[in-house]
Amino acid sequence: MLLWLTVALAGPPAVEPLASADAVRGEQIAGLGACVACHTTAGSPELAGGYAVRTAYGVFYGRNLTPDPTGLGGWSYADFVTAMRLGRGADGHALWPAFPYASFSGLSDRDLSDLWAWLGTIAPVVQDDRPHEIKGAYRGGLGLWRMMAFRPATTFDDGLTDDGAAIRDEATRGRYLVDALGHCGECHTPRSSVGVPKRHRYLQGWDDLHAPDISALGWNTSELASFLDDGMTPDGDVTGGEMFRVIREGTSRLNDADRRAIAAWITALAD
Amino acid sequence: MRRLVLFAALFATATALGGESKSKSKSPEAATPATPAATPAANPAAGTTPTPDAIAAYREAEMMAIAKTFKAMSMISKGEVLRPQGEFIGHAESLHNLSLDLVSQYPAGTAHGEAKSEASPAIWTDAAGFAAAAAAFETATAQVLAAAKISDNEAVKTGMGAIGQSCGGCHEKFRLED
Repeated sequence: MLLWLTVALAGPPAVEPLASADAVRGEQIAGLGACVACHTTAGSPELAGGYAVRTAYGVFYGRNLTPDPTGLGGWSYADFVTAMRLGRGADGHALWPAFPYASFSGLSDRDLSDLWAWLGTIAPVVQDDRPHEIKGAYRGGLGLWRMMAFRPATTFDDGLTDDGAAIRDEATRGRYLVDALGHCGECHTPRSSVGVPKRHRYLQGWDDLHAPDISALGWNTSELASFLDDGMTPDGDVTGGEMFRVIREGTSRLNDADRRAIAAWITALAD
Repeated sequence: MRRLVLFAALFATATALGGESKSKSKSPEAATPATPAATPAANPAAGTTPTPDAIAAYREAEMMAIAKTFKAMSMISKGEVLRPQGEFIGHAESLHNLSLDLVSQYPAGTAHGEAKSEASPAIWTDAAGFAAAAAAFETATAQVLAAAKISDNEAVKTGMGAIGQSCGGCHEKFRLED
């Protein structure tokens, strides 16, 4: 509680992107983070926003992330880190968790730097953000939700070696990719009626989103790693729905070691 | 003649596989193996029309045969098992045949809610998109078959990826996940 209070009262962290910031790597990070999925509307320029995320709590519109002033043009890197790790906008207002900062909170300095570098390469688009259409019952509930459901991360270990070239520890890497970047729990962990994740039912499926229980798949690590590459289940079926997009734009673009780390972490849950 | 017999046997096997699957997938009883010369729409009981549930169950049986055949081909292509080239070609022929004439198996009135089916209403509201997805699948299977016949392993590998993409791409839009 004290930590939460300290974090809540603190200003944005005084940070600079790492010197190693890599926009090309940032694009791959963005694939697994699925930024495009919620911040780009079909037929409109990349990351210009306007996409409708429809939830039981209302419709939330992904904002403009392009470098234009109507997007993130006026944001500093510190503002970006504050949004991703603390769920607050540049002017300090709390953000709605349709933007999954509860997961992104654990992103490493390396990944945030790379993402910021990639965002800087996007073509600026003039598009004002569209106000969310939040159902009346939930409109005043953001503060309460944050108190109940949001714990800012305190460690940001991506499981890689210092130079980012290899996996240092597979379990750490797997947990990082699942919980922080891949934010798998945002769909696969069930929630209460007020949107608080049921942590004791980690990855056990959320019927509202047709996201299945993946905590006890009965697949081995190779089968799951292979599924994350091409979407084929051990039965020969190929998944559809949202998960196929996750695979096509995210996990299929990882290297084998990262997919294996994800698979090892998830299959270990069944033990 | 020998190719025709081989093809008929493989088609029968592929169809039967849908009912004998060891997985927990809910498959209907194995469809009666048909020879390639059988008239598709013939019905011995005069005056009866197939129910929506029967139409849905049949195409699900075919989809399961597709899954098992694709799985077999995938295992060979990935080197998980070593099988004669002719066997892979046989699977590829089965898969290509299963890919033919898909759209006609989705008449109106057989969507999820109207029949025991996972077919999304989008199949009918976006008929052009569905037809395109079915055509993509047909093309992808034809390409792998052609590549396998001339032992072009690189093209087979790429083609297998394209088949998977066509499966998932169609399911993404037109199959409801429960």
